Amino acid sequence: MVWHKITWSRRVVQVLSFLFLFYGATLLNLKPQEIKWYSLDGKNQKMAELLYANPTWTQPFQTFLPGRSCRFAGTTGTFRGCLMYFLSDTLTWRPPWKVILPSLALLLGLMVLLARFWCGWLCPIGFLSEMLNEARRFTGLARIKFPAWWLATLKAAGYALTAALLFSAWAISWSFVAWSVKKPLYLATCQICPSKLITPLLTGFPVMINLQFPGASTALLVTLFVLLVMFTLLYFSSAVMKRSWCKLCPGGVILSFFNRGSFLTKEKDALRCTKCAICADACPMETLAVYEEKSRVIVDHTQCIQCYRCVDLCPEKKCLTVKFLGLPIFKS
Amino acid sequence: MHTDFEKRYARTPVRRPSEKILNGMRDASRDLARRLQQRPGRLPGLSVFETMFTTEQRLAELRASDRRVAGTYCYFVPEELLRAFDVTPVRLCSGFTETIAPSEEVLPRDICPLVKSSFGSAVVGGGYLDECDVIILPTSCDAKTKLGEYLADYKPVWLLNLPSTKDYAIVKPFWVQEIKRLKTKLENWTGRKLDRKKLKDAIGLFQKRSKVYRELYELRRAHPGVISHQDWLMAIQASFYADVPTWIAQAENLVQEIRKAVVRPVPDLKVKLLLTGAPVIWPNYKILNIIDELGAAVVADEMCSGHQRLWDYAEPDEWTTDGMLEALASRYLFPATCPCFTGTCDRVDKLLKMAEDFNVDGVIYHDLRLCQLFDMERDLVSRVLKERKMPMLTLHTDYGQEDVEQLKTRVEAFLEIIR
Amino acid sequence: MSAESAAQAQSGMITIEVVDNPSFWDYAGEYVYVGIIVLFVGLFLWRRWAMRKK
Repeated sequence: MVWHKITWSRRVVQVLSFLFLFYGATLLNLKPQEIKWYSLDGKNQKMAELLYANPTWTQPFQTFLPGRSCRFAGTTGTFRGCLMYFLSDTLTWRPPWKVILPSLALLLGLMVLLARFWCGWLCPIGFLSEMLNEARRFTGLARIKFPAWWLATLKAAGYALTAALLFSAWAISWSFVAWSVKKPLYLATCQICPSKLITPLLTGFPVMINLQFPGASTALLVTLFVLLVMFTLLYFSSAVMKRSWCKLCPGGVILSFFNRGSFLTKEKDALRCTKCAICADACPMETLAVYEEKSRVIVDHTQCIQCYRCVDLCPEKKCLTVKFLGLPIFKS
Repeated sequence: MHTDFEKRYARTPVRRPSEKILNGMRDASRDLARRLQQRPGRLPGLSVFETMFTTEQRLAELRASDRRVAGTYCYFVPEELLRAFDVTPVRLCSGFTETIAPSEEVLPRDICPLVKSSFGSAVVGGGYLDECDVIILPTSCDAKTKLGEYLADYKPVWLLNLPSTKDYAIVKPFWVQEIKRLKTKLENWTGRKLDRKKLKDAIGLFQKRSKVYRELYELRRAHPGVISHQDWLMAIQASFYADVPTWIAQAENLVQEIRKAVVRPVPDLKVKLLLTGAPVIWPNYKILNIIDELGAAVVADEMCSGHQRLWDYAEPDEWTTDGMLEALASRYLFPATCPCFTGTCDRVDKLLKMAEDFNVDGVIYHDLRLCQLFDMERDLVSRVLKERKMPMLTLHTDYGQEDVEQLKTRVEAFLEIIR
Repeated sequence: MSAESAAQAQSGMITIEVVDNPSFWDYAGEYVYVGIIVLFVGLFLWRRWAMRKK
């Protein structure tokens, strides 16, 4: 059996990233006030205050990452939250540009730099879903394959969900919107995210699922709760279906726009390819793009989480190459 | 045992055992072996592969052992799966011209020689086919599909329903089902469940086999003159019958020998050719011998009886039983460049890659008479090669020796153009 | 400092003070950040354009 170099290095990176993002503050004994990183106010030499609404608790690094650096990691976590949290909260509060510019610049930079590499290598929630799958592999149970129409539905639903979440975050800032709508829809992205349940379970951060906000529309609360239950079930189905939640994840949808054009590219030498379909079998997102591409050199596509499993398993030498700014880093 | 053919109208199997024909076959093998031995500087490690054809040692071994034997045809039978059930696979595709005449008593005349010759070995008997307990036959081309019906008179035949396209989304689920059906049949036959560990070991072993083959390929690419293509094909085709670990050990030995041999400079070849098209099977190395005699050399081939057989391996994404079966399904369908699938592009790609790898001067297109599939693929292949200024020669022939002189003239003219 | 800011300062947070009659240099930091953002967006679009046929 072949030693799969890329998969193993990815596992190491994933474990480190998981520990750092979820337990970093505890493990490294970081204290929020001591950290002065890139969210600095250049003129005043002070930390840029980002907790514009409710500064009750905080993480050491007062900024956001594209991966699920979930805010529900609480005081053990290292970052303030994920990309979707930042975008939703920003759209709702619309704080002065001065306050959000550092985070925006950082997020854009990280997205252009790595795109969905965040999903495949750094996202702790994605890592845990892969661990669920590993557990199933260990038992030897069969995997359930997503039928093609179901994959297409998840992809479309992902776009719709992202649009709806961002729109609702913006809409609740309008003054004429009723409080009964505003209240339940505040940070709807977090309220339906499976990470809201999983992260606190792992980090011990207290989170309540409140079905009875005073004055909130029960219909909306119930809808969000139902979505939360559905998405959590979808997440846990990653034990039998590879990366099930990742096929819908709104954060992933936003990152996916940067997949083509980011600094990381995956290139295919079509002549070396024997069309053996090992890449199609291996893909955790169950896409056929790399397998079917026979004319283009760059085979990045929106669904790719850049895990490079295909590059790892490809039996043809130098058929698939991962390049960072034209510099090859992984080869098949 | 479950077979795929109903027996409403049974046909009495025609058996024409003939020591004369068997001797003729032995002679053909021995003649070819002698011819190969005469080659100066031939590596001694090749003789172990040769004994597979010149002696009946392996046949006796199979006869003596109580392991079940399954006969296979073509590229598409998952041998790892058979091995996991302790069934020995033997590939029955035949290259003997001697068995064609007896087969014509039953088969119509206008069938490709490969199928006639393969069926003839059932009629004559005394070969590997007799030792098979079951025959697993992929429905690759029309002749092979119907061959199953004829062979069903002699042995139980299981068909593998081969799709005619390689469209992953459509074909993969179907083909996985077909492989799983084969698994169920094997389970019913052997009376035990598929063992995950055994399948894993078998896949590992076949991966090792193709790693060794790839090593040989790389060595040959660097030093094309180190081994003749007849010997190359013979070594590959020894794996039709050989026990896999034995073959791997022999091939590893060959790797060592080639490593030693290439320390001294290998004489450069004047004209390097790439062979493609219909399978060239022992002892029908007619066209290779002709090319050899005229001072050119085939350095690589892209045939199901050659390169294709050992190059690919199954690579399961996960080592669960299902994961492995899926990987086997992929390995025994998608890399095949058999013309029985629509879409010649895969084959053209492979040809261009090999032509580039070996820096060949021309391509020989072996076209077995009455194989429409290879015949119809020739057009696109020749057009693409023409565009790339790569000369190509089509040799339209069969297993007989009658047209040797004619072929010689054609090859000679072709070599003139290249030189 | 407003009461809210004072509460935040107590909880360990530091607020950015609002500057009266700002000069160009008061916003220098923001220009830098906007520049960085434009750079990233530009870089991304340029790469996207450059690989459109590859």
